[in-house]
Amino acid sequence: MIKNIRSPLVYYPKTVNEMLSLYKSMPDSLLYAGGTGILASKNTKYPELPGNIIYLRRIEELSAIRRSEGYLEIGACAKLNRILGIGEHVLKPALYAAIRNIGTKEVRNIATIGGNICSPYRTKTLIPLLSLLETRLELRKQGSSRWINVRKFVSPEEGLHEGEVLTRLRIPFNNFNHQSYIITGDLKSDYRGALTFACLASVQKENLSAIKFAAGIGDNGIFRAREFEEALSGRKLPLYAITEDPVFARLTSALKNQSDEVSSFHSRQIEGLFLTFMHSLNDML
Amino acid sequence: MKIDFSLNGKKVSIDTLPEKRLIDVIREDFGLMTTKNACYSGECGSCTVQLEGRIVPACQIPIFTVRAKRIVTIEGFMGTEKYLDIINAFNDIKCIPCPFCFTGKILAVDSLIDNHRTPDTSDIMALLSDHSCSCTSVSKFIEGVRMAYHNREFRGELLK
Ligand SMILES: Cc1cc2nc3c(=O)[nH]c(=O)nc-3n(C[C@H](O)[C@H](O)[C@H](O)COP(=O)(O)OP(=O)(O)OC[C@H]3O[C@@H](n4cnc5c(N)ncnc54)[C@H](O)[C@@H]3O)c2cc1C
Ligand code: FES
Ligand code: FES
Repeated sequence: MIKNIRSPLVYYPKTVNEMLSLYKSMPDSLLYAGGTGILASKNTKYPELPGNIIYLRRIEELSAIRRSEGYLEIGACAKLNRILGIGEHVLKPALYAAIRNIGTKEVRNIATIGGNICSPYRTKTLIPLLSLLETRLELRKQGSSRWINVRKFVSPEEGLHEGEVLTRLRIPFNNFNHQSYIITGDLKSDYRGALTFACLASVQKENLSAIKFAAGIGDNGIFRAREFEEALSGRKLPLYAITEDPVFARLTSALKNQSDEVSSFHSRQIEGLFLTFMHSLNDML
Repeated sequence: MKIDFSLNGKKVSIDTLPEKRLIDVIREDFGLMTTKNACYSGECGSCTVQLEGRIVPACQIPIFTVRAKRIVTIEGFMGTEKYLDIINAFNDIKCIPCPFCFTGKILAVDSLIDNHRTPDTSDIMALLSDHSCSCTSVSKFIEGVRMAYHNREFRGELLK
């Protein structure tokens, strides 16, 4: 059956400037990258799309990937599998696993990193880790640009302003020598119940010189427990029976303080995943 | 909207709704029915085609995005030696995927064994988990992929 509302008009800009000027003149248009976020929520024969579509994938500079001294710079339209192609030794285990976990190989051949960060549709499983890694995003609109931390970008009061497009991201290189990235639950059938957990630690000899972790729950933002992380940093390993250590109360209270976003079920999961990570550090000594 | 693209090595042109999915264009407008459409949500792998040489889910691709691009469906792939590497291996061990999985698995195996290294079990399990499949023997499938790799290696294709 053919639907009878007007079909979208598609624009294929070739440069960022051309795209920004189109978007300024038609701010209601849909920015279309890989489309896997857009179409995943529309499994009807003819997906309903808005009247004007700006297709981003013909803009070469949006797919560029560069390695500079301190960071990896990735164009918003770089496809996920192309990013994986940089190699685990550069991306490091957590980021490699986080990208590898998205969809199927077929999906990752079209899905882009910018589409993941900007997707309003479902859990964005890269965000907690990108936020731990202090990733910065370049947002451009005609005549101006700004850089913003990914953590700020996903907060409810921030995000994209009218006419803005995510053009590239900078992920600082890191030296965390222990990394973990885990998704629990079933993203497909119950994305609100699923939890994304990322943990990074630096261990020198028997010293836990730095540790940080983040959890993403559904589309409820990111859970962090900074005071707890700071209190743990600098401690000597192994750290057995950490749940009886006074420092552990800081994690419990951070979870309680965010009980609107973090249910008791997810709190227990976060504690459990954190303890498993700590055990793995102890075991490595 | 008029869209020109290459389909199985031939230049084609179609006038259709830009949001029509590639899988429906392939099946309804070009009559290539071996590629299946089982979920429309990018999850099952049955609609896999090659776009510029890379495997993609045709159900997640509106036709406007393939303008001036190269698409190869399983029908086009069947005319290649690369196909013979795979089908001969699965024939030898009597483990041909059923019509639901055929397209997705054959094209995904091709993409895996083109990687220039012997696929290990975890690579093959990852491939299987990308495809909803209820009727294959995992151990036979692993054997089939390894044989397909060796067929390709034997032909010297991997050295090129
Ligand atoms: C089978 C399947 C499994 C999936 N699994 C996961 C998963 O595990 N985790 C996960 O996080 N996601 C998952 N997804 C969702 C999606 O594939 C990814 O988030 C993907 O990275 C989105 O990228 P895209 O290029 O396809 O985005 P698109 O669909 O093109 O865009 C998504 C949104 O972002 C906007 N947008 C795109 N690019 C820009 C830009 N540069 N600037 C501003 N706005 C922009 C679009 O307008 C749209 O609103 C899955 C999807 C499928 C089909
Ligand atoms: S029909 Fe495309 S992945 Fe299932
Ligand atoms: S081989 Fe039959 S469902 Fe996969």
